[in-house]
Amino acid sequence: MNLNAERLVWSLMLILLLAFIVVQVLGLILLWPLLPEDWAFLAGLLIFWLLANKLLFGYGQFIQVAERFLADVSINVEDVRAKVHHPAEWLESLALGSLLTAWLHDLDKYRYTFYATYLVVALFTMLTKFNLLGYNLVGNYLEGAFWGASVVAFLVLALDLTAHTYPADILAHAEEALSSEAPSTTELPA
Amino acid sequence: MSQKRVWLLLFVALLGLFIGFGAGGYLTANRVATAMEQIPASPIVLDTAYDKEQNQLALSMFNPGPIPLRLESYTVTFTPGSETKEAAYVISEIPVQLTLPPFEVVTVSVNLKEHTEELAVGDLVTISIFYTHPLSPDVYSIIHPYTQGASEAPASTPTPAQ
Repeated sequence: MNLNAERLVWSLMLILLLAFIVVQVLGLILLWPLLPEDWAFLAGLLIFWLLANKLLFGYGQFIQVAERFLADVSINVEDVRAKVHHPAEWLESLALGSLLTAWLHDLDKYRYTFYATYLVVALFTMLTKFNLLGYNLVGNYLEGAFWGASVVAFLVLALDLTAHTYPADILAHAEEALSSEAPSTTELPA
Repeated sequence: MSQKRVWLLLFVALLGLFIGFGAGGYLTANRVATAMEQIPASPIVLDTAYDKEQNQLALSMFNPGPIPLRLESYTVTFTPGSETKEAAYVISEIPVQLTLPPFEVVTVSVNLKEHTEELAVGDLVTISIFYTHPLSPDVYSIIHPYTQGASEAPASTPTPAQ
């Protein structure tokens, strides 16, 4: 279900971006009651959404699974293992709590890519705002793209920060389960 | 929900307010600026100076808007004061053909009627200036009254009574 939604949103954003490019190339912009700055905003939003799609859905799914883990609801472990890009033997040796943390850290490469790209856009936006690169040429449009990207970056940051509050809780929950019951509780309820 | 996630929720809500403020402000500001760039303004006469030798008035005209204005012509109506021998007259439709660029001041020379006496104190010169702008075929006008005052006489600074 979630994976389908992820693919659906990705395809939707890609189609919107392609439609955007077609509209720009054909010069249909004149038929549209939007300003060039509005188009810049849309372009920033769509491009950065494509960059962030994996993060948004990854963190969203992680938070849901982590909540199930903390509430001792059964989790489909094979699905979780399929999301982590590590050797299968190593993943099978992990307890469920460790597997969840590995999943979270596996998203880091997308996270750093996203934030680095966003910061580059923010840097160039500030340079043009301070008139170092020619504000009147591209500055105002770059700022539109920056604000569009900021909307996506806000969503990513919110989910990112929320997801990173869970590992400590997962660890505490696993330790609690380990100390209160027999060692067999760490086995996966597959 | 643990306490740290409650604080996080507040922080994220606050951040969302700022992002929304920034993005909304950007989009709205551009929309307003685009609308403002299409509104022509009426010129303002900042200052009028009388040149006795040329028998003409120099009007400093300011265009406070973003659309260039075209000054087409002017009409001068002379109303004599009590100290002049000159009779009342009207000269109309004197072409100017001067462009008033956005946010700039241009000096317009208004010639009074030829072979007339120079202005005396109390004379009233009413200047109607006709202008057009590119957004409309209409002709607009402003009317500037100029009264010749005593200020043309040598400056006499009143000394305060001791």
